[in-house]
Amino acid sequence: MNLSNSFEFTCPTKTNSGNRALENIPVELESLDARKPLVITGTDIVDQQLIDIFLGAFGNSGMTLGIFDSIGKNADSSMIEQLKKAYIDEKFDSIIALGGGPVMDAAKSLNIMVSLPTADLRNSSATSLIQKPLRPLVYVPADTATGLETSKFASINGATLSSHYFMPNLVIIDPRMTRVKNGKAVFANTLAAFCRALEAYTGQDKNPLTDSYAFAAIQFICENFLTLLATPGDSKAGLAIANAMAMSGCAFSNVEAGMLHRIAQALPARINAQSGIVMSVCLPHVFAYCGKKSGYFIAEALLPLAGHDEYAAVPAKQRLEKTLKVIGQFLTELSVKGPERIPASLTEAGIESSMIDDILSNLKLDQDTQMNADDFRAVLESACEGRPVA
Amino acid sequence: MKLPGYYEFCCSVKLVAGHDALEKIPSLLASLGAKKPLIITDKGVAGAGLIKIVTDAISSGVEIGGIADNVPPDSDLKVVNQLAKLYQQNHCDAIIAVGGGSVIDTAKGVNIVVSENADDLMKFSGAGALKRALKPLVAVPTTAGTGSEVTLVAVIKDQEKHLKMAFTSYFLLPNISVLDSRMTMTMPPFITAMTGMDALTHAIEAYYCLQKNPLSDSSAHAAISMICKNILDVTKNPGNKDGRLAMAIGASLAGIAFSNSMVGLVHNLGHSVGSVCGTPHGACMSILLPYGLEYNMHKRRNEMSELLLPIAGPEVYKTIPKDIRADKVVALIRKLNNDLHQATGGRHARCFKEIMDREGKPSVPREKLPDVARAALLDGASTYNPEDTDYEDNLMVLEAAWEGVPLDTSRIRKG
Repeated sequence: MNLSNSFEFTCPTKTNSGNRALENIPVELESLDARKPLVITGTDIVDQQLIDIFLGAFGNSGMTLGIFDSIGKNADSSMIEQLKKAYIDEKFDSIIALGGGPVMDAAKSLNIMVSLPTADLRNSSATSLIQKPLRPLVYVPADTATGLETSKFASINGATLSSHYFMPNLVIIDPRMTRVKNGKAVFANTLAAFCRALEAYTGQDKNPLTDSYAFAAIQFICENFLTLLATPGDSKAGLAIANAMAMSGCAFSNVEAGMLHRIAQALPARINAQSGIVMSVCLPHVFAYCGKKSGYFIAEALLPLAGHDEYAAVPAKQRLEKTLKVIGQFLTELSVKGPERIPASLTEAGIESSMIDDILSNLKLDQDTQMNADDFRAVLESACEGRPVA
Repeated sequence: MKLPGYYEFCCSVKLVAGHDALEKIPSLLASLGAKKPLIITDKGVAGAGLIKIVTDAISSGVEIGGIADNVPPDSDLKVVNQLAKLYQQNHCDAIIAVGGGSVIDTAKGVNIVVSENADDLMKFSGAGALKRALKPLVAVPTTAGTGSEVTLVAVIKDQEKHLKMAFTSYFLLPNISVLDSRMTMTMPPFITAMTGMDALTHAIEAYYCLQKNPLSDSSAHAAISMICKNILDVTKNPGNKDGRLAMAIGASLAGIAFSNSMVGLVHNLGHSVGSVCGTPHGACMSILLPYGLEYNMHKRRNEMSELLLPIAGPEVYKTIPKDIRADKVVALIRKLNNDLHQATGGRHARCFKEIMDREGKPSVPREKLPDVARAALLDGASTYNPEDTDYEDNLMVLEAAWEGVPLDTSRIRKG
């Protein structure tokens, strides 16, 4: 890591993970000076049974909860307006997002709206008005988490807003909630978290703090993902993966999007690029390419990927090659044992090499000093063919 | 990586690091809605010219609401209340604490009084007394050691009542900690060595004590690696800018690790040596660290073996057989203390009998060890130590550490 580069790191989120973590919410809220939370969830996203377990955890806390359980597949602004009115009328003082994806997007948006009543979320610069922490926000992941819930990003009306103030005060990871039911979604989301953590750990603007979160995320995924695929109900593996997801969002929020994420964002929307599947197709190609450029730390990923002994046993000069091999083998195994196959190439995933020019034009490369169009083209061509970068 | 049945981790302080990180303070304050900070420091820091560096770096961007350099070596309730008045009189809207543990603790105390618009800190003691965010607090540590820039505790002494009050609240965490290499550049070699070993102890104890968790582990791992790569070199070459910055970052990472995992025997006995004999905390830590490892090794051999990688690097790690890696870790810590002893012309102590006070008398007289061993029974740090300790155990460790000889492992009662 180059310490001549300065860095900034922020993660306001406290993590409580493990047995009976839910039961700590009342005490934690109290320490944030909150006593009347509005719970946001969606019965399409979280099983009613889990919502009941969650509510049971408040047992004799004496806390009054409001519950809104109608968040659908996407958070839209009229629903958030409705929530804002309820929050203010009923004098709620905090927000709990139960479940992942759109639930947390809605919670983040609502938090801006109730903390800064004049904010207009249709304006992407609305977040620049925030000068102090928003209302206490607690996130409780269920198996539909995407890993972006703990990040500084919120997706609202199809646009992405970004602010460190969006990051929750608290994430409560409880094995009763993270037990896996929807194996297919978990597969894609865990792959995305894996890519996010790896890119944060190896990128040019990594720092020792992003390393901490990314390191733990990568190790948890390597050690638990296959177990979870073999035994989806394994609560320990489910908890470890949920931890990794939450950590990946934090690391990712403190680095610039790297080549892998930029490619994913530039792919046609119909490919569902954020799913993690397509990112996994590109991962070996991006890493093989970046590994040959100066300023990247691809070879260092061998430590969290393979552990102390294997890392130390491989001579420094061979570490890059070994890292790529370990990633390749892991993805192959996941593809065989997962609920869906990871395509062998971008072409197999529906991206023809004739589309590369269009993808490049989506990339806004003029802002990029590290990688130019030729670099991206080389990686895309290789990912389309599915062969290692020459 | 081990996932505990239950753990908590929190580090909500924003860290800003670099060789010119100070210059970012005005815009960081602006992002918190503040523009007139009170600078709190002590005479030592001001005398070393560090306040001038800070004011030069920020005065074009903010109006400085005052500079108070009268924080005593031990935080003092009277000073807290007096500085709070100064803050209010000068209509300040934020605090910048430039210094070590005492300065940062004092600033946290001042922040309680001014944020609650009160006149006395003691009205806010007790759990839950703080209910909302305080005024913006920026910590600028000048010793790469204590980690107080990332912890949520403030210890304030009421000198009249001879009472130490510990305030604990998430609201006490600084909003931002600024780690700038210029702030530690003039630290003398033996203080560099001592504070660096203090930080290393935080990280190593965090890694093997009972309340470790995945994020304290990875913070500790990074801290150990950064400190071990740089501590000897910055002790020998104080002007090594990159080394200074790495030490400052390492110390903050170590502070994050231990405040989330708690610590054990080394801190337990170290606190007690400090309170009975008045010996500097960092000196106690560096002397006791190898003993903490030896005492707990039969319970934590795996964790201690893993430490060889960040301490010595992959080349050494792979040549040492697995079953003796933990022993190698202890040997390397002893060697490091020895190297630091050499590099500081003998001022870095390797055992308690080598520490002298300002008058040249032994700081830790051997006959005080029973008092220390007894005092340690009352210190909370023993709770998180892997192996149990009682008076006899404490005394055994202290005597070995006084003499500077390895622990006779056959005498450790394995529970």
